[in-house]
Amino acid sequence: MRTGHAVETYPRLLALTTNPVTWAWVAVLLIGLVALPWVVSGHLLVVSTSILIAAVGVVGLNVLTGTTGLISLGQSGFLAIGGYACGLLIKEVGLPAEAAIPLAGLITGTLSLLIGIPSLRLKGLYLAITTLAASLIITHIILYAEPLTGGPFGLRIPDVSFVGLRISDPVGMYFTALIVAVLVALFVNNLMRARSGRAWIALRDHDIAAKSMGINLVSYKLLAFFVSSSIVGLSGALMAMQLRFITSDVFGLFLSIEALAMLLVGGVGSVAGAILGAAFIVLLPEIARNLLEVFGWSGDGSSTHVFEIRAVLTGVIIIVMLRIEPDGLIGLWRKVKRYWLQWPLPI
Amino acid sequence: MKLLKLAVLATVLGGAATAETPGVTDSTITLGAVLPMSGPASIPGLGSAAGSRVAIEEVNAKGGINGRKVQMLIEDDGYVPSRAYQGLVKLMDDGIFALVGTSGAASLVAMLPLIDEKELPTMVTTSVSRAAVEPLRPYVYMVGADYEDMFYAQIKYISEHDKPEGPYAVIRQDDDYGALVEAGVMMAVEKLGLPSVPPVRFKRGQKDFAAEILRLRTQKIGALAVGGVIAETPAVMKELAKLRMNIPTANPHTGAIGMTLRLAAPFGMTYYAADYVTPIDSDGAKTFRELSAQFLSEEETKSLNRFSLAAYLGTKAVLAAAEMCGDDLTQACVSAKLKTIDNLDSGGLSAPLDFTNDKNTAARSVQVFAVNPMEGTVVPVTDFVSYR
Repeated sequence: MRTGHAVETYPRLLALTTNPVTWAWVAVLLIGLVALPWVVSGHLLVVSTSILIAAVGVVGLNVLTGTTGLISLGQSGFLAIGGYACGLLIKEVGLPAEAAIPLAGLITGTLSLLIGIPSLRLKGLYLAITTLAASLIITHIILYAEPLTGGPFGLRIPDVSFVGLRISDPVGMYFTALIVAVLVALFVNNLMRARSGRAWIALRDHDIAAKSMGINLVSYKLLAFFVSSSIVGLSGALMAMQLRFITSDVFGLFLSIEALAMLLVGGVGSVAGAILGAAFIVLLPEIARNLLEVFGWSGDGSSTHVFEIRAVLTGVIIIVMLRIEPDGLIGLWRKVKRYWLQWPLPI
Repeated sequence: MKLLKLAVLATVLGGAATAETPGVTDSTITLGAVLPMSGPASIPGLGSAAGSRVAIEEVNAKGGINGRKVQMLIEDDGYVPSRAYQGLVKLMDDGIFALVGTSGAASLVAMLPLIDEKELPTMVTTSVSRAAVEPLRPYVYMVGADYEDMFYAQIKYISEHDKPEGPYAVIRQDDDYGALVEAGVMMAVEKLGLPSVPPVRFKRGQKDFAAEILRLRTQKIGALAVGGVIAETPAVMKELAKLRMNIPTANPHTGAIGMTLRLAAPFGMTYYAADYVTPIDSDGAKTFRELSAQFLSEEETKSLNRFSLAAYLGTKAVLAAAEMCGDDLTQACVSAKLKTIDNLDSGGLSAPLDFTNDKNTAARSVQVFAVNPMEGTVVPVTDFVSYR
């Protein structure tokens, strides 16, 4: 059993993991994810797809907020750009989904620079409000650009295939989301180990010190905006493909708040935490439903209180979760791991 | 002998068809609804759920549909479109025969691709949306007049009854619903040759209209149409009262629900509203109130509102179509029978239900109400009139 961690070469320091056991667990997880459509119900498959889509978005948000320390409430706006860009590229330009999804991400990233450049001098709550305002402007533009976006009447996305997987088929959509989620997780995990990732962490922890070490704050902040928003755009594209009919209402402000909640609950600054947080928050209504069904309260409509109780229970679980473990689910996981590795010694 | 063989074959095939029909067993029919049951948007959801339940219990009390009891499963979408989609998948997994609750317009559009795929018989009652019937689907039906008609009816009534001298104005939220309100007002302005000022749009969720109403006062408007949802009507009334602008105002159907009346009462203004269902406290809804008292819990009765009436009518139509199908209870049959429903008695809750038109939409006739929030009264001032 491994009880310590030491690396002697730079390539090993940059490796995703030096522990073969970790790779074995990752392989088990991937096999489980691939087998999932054949073992769960249609509803749980759709929930799993939603978790993957949310995870992509939260991993993107984590690059900006968790790693670089720039708080963003503009998630819903970037999701909307990604969703509409993907929809329009498929419907109006006739591009295949394989090209439309990454292009939607790139378009979102490029447009996010318009918000990123004026926001360079801002941080903390000021940046949060700026990005919030930006997302309001984005939904406003979508609403008024009726000839292009369908305005208030929305945009229908044709049924297309992604690497041979039909998006109208829940299994096809699940694998589409899984492929994008795995690629994004690998990409961001690698980025974190490269110069850019270390630079982002440095400017999050102390921007003046980072500048004195030769890190170009402007470039790296803009890069963080671009990378983060591009990934969020991919999530928006997947959302649009899952629903196949989007209006600006689909990308409500609530999504920005929910994304931040996912990040906090999962653990700020960690890719694994972002994924855990997305899974936890998306599954919460299901957890609350099952908890209530244990007590014989189902959603048959005979009680008007059951749905409110379910919504309140969801909020209570988030509060309790953060109270027990402020570092989020990933903090909890690290504690459990440390306890296991050091047992019987105290942690 | 040959006849006997045919009869046995027909029974086996009929049994097989029913066994394969989702949501149907030998003793039950399960309907589904995706509604906003929690959070700030739960007023229409809770009301719709209660209305559908009255229709279901009424049928069950008479022995069900050809001996099968009807039940309903509800999924809460919290007014979030992606959750509506998830909710519908859950209902389909659980097995539903038809969908009788479709939440808000955005949730409906999120569910439509799935509805299309399964050709699920669907009755839209909570939020009247063009997306449901454009393009026309043989399995999607709707209860309710267009928002254009509701505002057209009120502006027409105001022009004939109040005869304001100043131009007509509209203040509306910047979404699909607001666009329909504006279209209705402009239709009246054009058709009736009325003066008007440019429409004022506001961001959905805005609750203070001081600047907008002040601007409209400088334009010396004679009548105003308010294209908000619930809280916007009292918020506009507050500003009109403050500026002593005693002008007739046209409002959406939510202007006549209890909550809006309570919020608007302190400002001392009366106004108009219009709806395709009669006010729930009116004589027209007496039978419905009696049925509700018989079948609903005290808790559910408190949630009754105008959405309950629309949901009751829609669910009643689906159940009537199921009854017509007899032993051939398939989703395709119910969809086809819904199209043949003409002149179904609404019990005075609306104009008789007729789905035979080119929009698969019943209850398109509109009644205008005079609303007095101080006295808590909603009085119909016209009959149900069709503007189509």
